[in-house]
Parts: sequence; C-alpha cells; structure tokens
Amino acid sequence: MHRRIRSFALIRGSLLRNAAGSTKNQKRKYAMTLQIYSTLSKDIRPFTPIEPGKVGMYVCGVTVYDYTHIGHGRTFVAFDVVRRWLEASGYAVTFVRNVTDVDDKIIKRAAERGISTKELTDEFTAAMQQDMLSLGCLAPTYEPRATEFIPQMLNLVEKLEQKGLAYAADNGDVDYAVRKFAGYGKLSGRQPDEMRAAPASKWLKPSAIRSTSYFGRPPSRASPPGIRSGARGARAGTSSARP
Amino acid sequence: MSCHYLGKTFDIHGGGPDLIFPHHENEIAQSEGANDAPFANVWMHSGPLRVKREDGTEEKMSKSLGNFWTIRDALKETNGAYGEGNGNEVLRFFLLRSHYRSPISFANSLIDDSHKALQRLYTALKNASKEENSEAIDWTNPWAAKFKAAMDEDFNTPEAIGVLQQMAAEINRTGDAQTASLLKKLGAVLNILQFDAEVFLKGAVTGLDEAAIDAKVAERTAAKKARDFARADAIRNELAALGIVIEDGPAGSTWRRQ
Repeated sequence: MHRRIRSFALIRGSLLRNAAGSTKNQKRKYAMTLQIYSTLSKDIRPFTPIEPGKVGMYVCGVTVYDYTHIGHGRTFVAFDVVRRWLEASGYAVTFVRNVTDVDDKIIKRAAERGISTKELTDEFTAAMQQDMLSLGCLAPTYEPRATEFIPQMLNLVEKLEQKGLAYAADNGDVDYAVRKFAGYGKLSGRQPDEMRAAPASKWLKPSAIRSTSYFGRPPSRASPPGIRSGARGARAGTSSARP
Repeated sequence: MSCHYLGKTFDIHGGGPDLIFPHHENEIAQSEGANDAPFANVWMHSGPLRVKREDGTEEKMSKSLGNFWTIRDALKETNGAYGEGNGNEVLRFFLLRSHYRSPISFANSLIDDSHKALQRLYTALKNASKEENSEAIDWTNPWAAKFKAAMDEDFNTPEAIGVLQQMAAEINRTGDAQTASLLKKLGAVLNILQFDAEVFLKGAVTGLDEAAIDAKVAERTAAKKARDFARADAIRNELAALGIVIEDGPAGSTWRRQ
C-alpha cells in the first residue's frame, strides 16, 4: 500500500508541474480526479459517483444522551470538509447524518434525570447541532432520527428473517446469523471465528462460547444477564455512533 | 435510514474509527443481506483523537482518566483565550491541520500553535491591498491548482493549508491584492479565514472594551504629536500588559491582540 501511495504522489507531482503551465493541452492533463482512500478496498482510488455529478453520502451521527466531545468534533469536521470539497468540485451532494435517539444509555440517563427519553434526546440533539455549528460544519441535507424509522428497521429485520439470515433468539431479540452472510468481515477483516475465540464477556463460559454457531449467543441456552458484547453488535436493528 | 434517502447502494459511508467493527461491518451484513445489492461503494473513517499528557505521552480520551473534553468545554477555553468567535475557528483549524485519517494529538500547546498560524494568515490578509471580488475561483491559477491537487489527494488538508501559508508568505512580500483575494476564497472552501482580518487579530480583550483601547491609542498618538514620548511609551506598556500590541503604520496606529 505504501508503494501505491508513493507512486501516486509522483503522478501528482508531475501533474502539478503541468498545472503551472497554461496551454490547453496542459490544462487538460491537470484536470485530475479526486482520489479517496476506502476502508473497504484498503487503498486509494479515483472516485466515481454512481450518478454523474451527484454524490450520496451517509455519516453516522451521535447517540444523543450527553454533550458531544472533541472526538466527535474531529470526525464531523473531517466529513464537513469532504462534503465541502465535493461541492467545490461541482458535485450536488446529499449529506445524511442520523441522530441515534433510541439506545439503552438514553433510557438509563432519562430515568436518572426523571425526564422522558424524548425530552433528553431533544435537549442533546439541539446541543449537538449547536456544537457542529460552532465548529463551522454545514447542517446535513437530512438529519433523520432513529425513532422515525422504527417501522423500516422492523421491515429490514423481517426481510432478513425471511431469508434465513436472522432469527428470533430466546430472549425476544432477533439475532443475525453472521456465518450465513458470505461477505462478513470484508470491511474490518474480522471474522466470526476470531470473535468467538476472543472472550466475548466475562459472563460467558468457554464451554458456551464453543457451542456457539454464530457469535455471542448459544442458540439453545438461556443466557445470564450481561452476555452481549459479541452478539449485541450483530443484532439486526439500529445504527448508531457510540461516544 | 440510508436506503430511504440515498437508495440501496450509495457513494460514500463515513464515521469515526471506532465504528468499523462491529457497527459498520454489521450494517453491511444487514443491508446487503436484505437487499442483495452493495451497500456503500466507498467507506471513509476518520482517525483517532488522543490526548497528549504533560510528559509528552499520549492517552485515549476518557472520562475515567479525567482528560475528557466536550466540544463546549474546549470552545470555552479557546474563545476565552483567543477571542469570542475566534476560538471556534482556532479549534476547527487545529483539527484540519492533521489529515483526516491520521491520529490527532490534542494538547494546549498545539492549539496555541494553531492560533499563531491562523494569526499569520490573517496578518497577510490584513496587510494586503484590499480588492475583494466575487468571481469564482480560477482553478487554473497555479496556487489554486496546487490547493486542488492537495485536496484531490484524499482530502489532504494539511498540504492544502501549507499552500495557503505559502500564499501568505508571498502576499507579505508583494502585498498582492489578487493573491489575498484568492487566499480568502480558498480559505472559504475549508470554512476558515472568513472573519474580517482586523476583527480576528484584535480578538477578545479582557478588562477593556474596544472603545477604551481606541481611546488609549488616540491618547498615545496625541502624546507622540506633543513629543511627550514618556507618556506615549507608558501607554504602549500599559496596553502591552493587557496583551494589546500597538502597530505604527503610514496610515496611523492600529492595535491587535498579542
């Protein structure tokens, strides 16, 4: 990968030299395309949108139960610049950033403060929007709240169940059968086996881990409270950024 | 949610580094499993942010380590130190000085350094002849082309800011109004350098309001005219103690925050 990037830098250098000239031919050479590193391909490649001139972009927003921190700030300023540069390059950008307003932490915090989850999430959604504005970030084109999309999420879960990719667990959750999805691990390079080998939770005994056919939760065992760390991420459902 | 607004397959999916696994891996499994179509074509993840300790080592930011910074707390500090409103831009500029995929180390000294770098850019804008124009950026201009090449290389903001700094150096040499105008426009692409340069350089002034400082500067000018240099120096020192620097130029004396 290092070699790729180095050779790319060389190409860029030569293009730059051409850009300084002013003949038509050189101008054409200068019109270089945007290159983006993708965690999925694990290299830097020329960017080609699906529809010419348009870019659809989705960024995971925050779980609104507390004030945002500078780690969030870093991420959101980064994607604000991505969006601004795409727009400066002539693309019409649709920028979607969700608000995760349904989560265990939200329920817990609202209960602690004796207010409704709606009151809590309204308060911290407004605070998050103010923080992003202070950091000079443009508001997203759309900012959907997870609670507005529960029916769609249930639909998705149902579709996965029908296809045999998800099934009802003994506690009423629907879990994803990770092994049945061939592409699992292509983004992170992590495999279900790797997860199983790692202790999912101090609550989960090694014998239980070995009998698991998908990660985290044995299909036919009643589970003690607290077993989640493996299965939780794989459960079908919402998408959120956890602070 | 993404499907509703962007369709089953869309161009770019982004998020923080901690979301790659399991969150985004699971999003792919859910969406592609249900839709039998690729989810996002490009996956972008920002790099981690760590907090630098006084001994120079770095650690993860966490509430339990007592090094946790909310955005509002950080902005309260920077706006207090560099001027109301300026602090917002200083923090943004600090974040943009690292490439989005590189780790960022958060430390007061680095933020102070970012403020100084911004001051230099604004000083170039302040000293250049003013010739604002509303024309679109000419990307064939060598400076603009250099900036574009940096940004086209996976959004290389530190290199793009380096171009802005080279432009500022040239403006300082030549006072060229067109380069200054272009500097401001390229700054706008990153949403920096959009304050009036004098307003930014004056910054926040604690203990004295602007009118009072203007009055002191006028008093000093009068003292100099009356050849009362002791009085003029006393006023300069008095303001210096408050962090105010007086600059004497051909058009008279101006002041800025140190």
